[in-house]
Amino acid sequence: MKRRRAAVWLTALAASAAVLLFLTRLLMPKYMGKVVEGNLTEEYYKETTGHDVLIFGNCEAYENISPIVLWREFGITSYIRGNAQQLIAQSYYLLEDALKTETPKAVVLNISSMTQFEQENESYNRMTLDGMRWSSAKWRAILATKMEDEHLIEYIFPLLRFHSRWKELEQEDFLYFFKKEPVSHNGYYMRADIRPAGELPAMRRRSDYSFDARAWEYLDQIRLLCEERGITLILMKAPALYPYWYEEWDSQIVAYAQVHGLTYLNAGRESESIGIDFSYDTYDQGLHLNVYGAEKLTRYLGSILFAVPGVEDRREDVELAAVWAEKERFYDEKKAEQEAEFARLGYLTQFYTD
Amino acid sequence: MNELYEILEDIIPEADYKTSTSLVKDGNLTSFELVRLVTQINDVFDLSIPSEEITPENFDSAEAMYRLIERLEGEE
Amino acid sequence: MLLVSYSFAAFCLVLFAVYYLFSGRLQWVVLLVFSGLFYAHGGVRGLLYPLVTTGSAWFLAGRIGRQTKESGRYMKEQGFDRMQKKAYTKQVKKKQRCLLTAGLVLNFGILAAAKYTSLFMTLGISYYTFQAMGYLIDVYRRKYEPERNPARLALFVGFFPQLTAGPISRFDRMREELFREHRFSFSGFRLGAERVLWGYFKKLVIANRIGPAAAAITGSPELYSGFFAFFGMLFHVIELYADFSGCMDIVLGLSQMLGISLPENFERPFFSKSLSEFWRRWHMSLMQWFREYIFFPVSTSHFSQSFAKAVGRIGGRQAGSKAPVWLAGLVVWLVTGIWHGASWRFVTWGLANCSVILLSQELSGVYRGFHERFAFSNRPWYQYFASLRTCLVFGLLQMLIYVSIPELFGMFLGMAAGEGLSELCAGGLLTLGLDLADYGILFLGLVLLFAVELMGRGGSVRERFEEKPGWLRYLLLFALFLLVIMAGVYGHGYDASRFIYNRF
Repeated sequence: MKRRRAAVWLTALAASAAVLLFLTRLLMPKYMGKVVEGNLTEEYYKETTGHDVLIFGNCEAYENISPIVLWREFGITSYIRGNAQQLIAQSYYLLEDALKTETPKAVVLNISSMTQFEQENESYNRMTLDGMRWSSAKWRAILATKMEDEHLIEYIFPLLRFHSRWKELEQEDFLYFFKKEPVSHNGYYMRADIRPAGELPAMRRRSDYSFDARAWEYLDQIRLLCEERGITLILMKAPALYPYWYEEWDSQIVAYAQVHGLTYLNAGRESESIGIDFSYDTYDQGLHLNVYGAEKLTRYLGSILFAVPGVEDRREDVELAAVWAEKERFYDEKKAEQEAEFARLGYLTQFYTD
Repeated sequence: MNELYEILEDIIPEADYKTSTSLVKDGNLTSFELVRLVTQINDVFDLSIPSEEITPENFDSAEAMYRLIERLEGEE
Repeated sequence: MLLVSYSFAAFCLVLFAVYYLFSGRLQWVVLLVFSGLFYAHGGVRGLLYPLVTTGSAWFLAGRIGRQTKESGRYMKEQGFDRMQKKAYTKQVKKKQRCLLTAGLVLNFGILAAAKYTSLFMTLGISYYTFQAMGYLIDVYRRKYEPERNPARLALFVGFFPQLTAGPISRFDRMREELFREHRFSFSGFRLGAERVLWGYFKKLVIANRIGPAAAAITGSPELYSGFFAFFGMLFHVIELYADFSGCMDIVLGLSQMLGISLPENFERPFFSKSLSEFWRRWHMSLMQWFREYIFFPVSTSHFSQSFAKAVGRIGGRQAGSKAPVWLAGLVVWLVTGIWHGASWRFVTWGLANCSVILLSQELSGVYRGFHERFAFSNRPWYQYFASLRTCLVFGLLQMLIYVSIPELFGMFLGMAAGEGLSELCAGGLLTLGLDLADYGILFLGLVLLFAVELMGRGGSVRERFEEKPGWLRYLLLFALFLLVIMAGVYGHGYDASRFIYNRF
């Protein structure tokens, strides 16, 4: 009798939990439309093979480097763990998270996130953090970067955050309930449309060029973690016409790299030698590179990465080659699709806003 | 006692004030009626019932009211 | 700390664990410590005012109690006769009245300063001041002996669930509740939790959702005229009730989870047949406080009784006995109005309520004749009509809080002229910040609320709910939980989750 009662209770609790899980899944944004960044963090866990290079950073990382080209032309296996407005602290915890399952030879960190330590928009935090696997790293990432009106418990039970989305449920919420399509190419966000750079806002002098002390702390932590695991850390700044990367900022990073013996690539300075043409290689007037610009930057980066001890050409590895052949196929297919659509319409429907 | 009944007849003619033991609890005597009752009792019996004596225990039945009146008369 | 916040939920979880771990005679100390923490959450400085109130009430009540005891002993020793005793008691009472007056002036002075100046505002000041002063007056009236331990008195004054919006409780009753041992009882805990859930339903699903629309209309009456004014009144009353009574359900449910029973503050007021009955069933603990400590003392005061005699001489015994009622009613409603806010609006509102209540009291003879003559007035539908009429009167009087009397008349003239009707038909309600889905949820929520209140006429809904089979109860409660989680207005993008009544 007692055992039966317990069984009934357990069933009831399990059923209730199932209902709540169902609702959580239904109501969480699927990020399969115009904004796909919400899926970037999560897609990393679907990887079946390891990487020699991991790349961290915000949009300047995941929109400007193509791991597929790194493989195709250098045989380097890589993955980008970047997201929209990904803070340096979040990059640190994502690195910690990744190091639980693999140890790359090199880590590339895009340092443009040094300029802003605190999050400006809650939805960026959700896109970066919601996809992260639960561990103490995720817990600490949330506590370190949540905005004032955000709560840890809303990450533990996302239903508390997204409960009112029942009003705006769309077809995609049902369509991608069980399974989502991949949106990135090893973390790379592909754009094959072109919107040449035009007039940019005037460069304003700032009263203070110092980085937040907490940003420096996390940079130190990333460096120390890499040292501890014998990983070569490379700092980079992607080429972008805007937002401006001030000389005063650059010199601080140069000094930091010198003190700690790190490689720092300011690709913005090398734009010309890399061959970036901002009338062609950008999809949003010079803020981010499109696939053509990204491929150019990747070639430049590849030759530098190739010099890192342990980073090798792995194209001979049959198993790896099979996995990457599929990635290449997917990449080429998407690129061709976008190119065709852009040629036909002059824009990409998925990302179009009036 | 009859004087008290007269007052009650005047104030709550509908209620069964002779036998009921829950005049306050049943809502026959709301605060308005209570105050009118006290005022008339004060007048007729030449008393001054203090406000803290206005409790359900003292006013739930005619008997209880009478006991209160007697007690206060004794104190005078 | 807001009742609708994650930190409050965490606070309660920790409290439950500690409270039942320490079950024993010192359990009340746990409550005292947590009440202090609850208070200090808004700034340690805020602790100062309740401490002053507790301290003064403790000290003065102690003095008064000691004098009562000593005078009794003294009279016995001296072998006073009745006349001597009376004279001596009078002397002692005079001294005690000085102490009482000092306490009242000090504490209501602090309350007035907090409410009517912007010098400081501290959580729950009205509620704990009323409680502490009720205690002081009761000791002065020799209803019970003063509490010796100031810490125990501090818990009575500052028991944290009551600080948001009451209820105002009495020391003799709370003493029994607060200071005994509370062993964990699963059924009590569950019943309390169920009530908390129901409270959150009222607050989050109904009050928070209708809030923006109510605020839009009542906030700018000059923009919304005619029929909009009617909806504004309706929304305002719904929000007020769902918010305030929901808060009470949370507070009383939470206390029940701690094994402590607090006095009820609402008894389905919208089923009242008259305004005076309404006010006996709405914010009951405050109205009881006013009745016991203002209405009765004023009406039985020497002045009122002399006034009664004077009126009696001119207008007869009937009128004479009514004079104190009128006088004391006026005072109580003036105070009620001023307590709600320091403005003429609130004074007008209080006096209007008073007028309606006293007038209907005067007309009670007419009603009686009407009921005797027309049998239909005893039919159920007439009872509903009477309740509806009461709600309308209450709603109309509430309007005086946010519009002036000329504006009110303007609104009615507008309504008579059909103003706003075409805008309403063209979807005017959708311009108030709520969309169709919101109104759908509101409608469902209100139907549920109304159905449950209607069931309450046949006895306690909760008791009858308990008799249902376990699986059904679980299913219904889980459904209610889902409703609160999904249809509640809270969380990101919503920061106005404050209870209306914690301003007081």
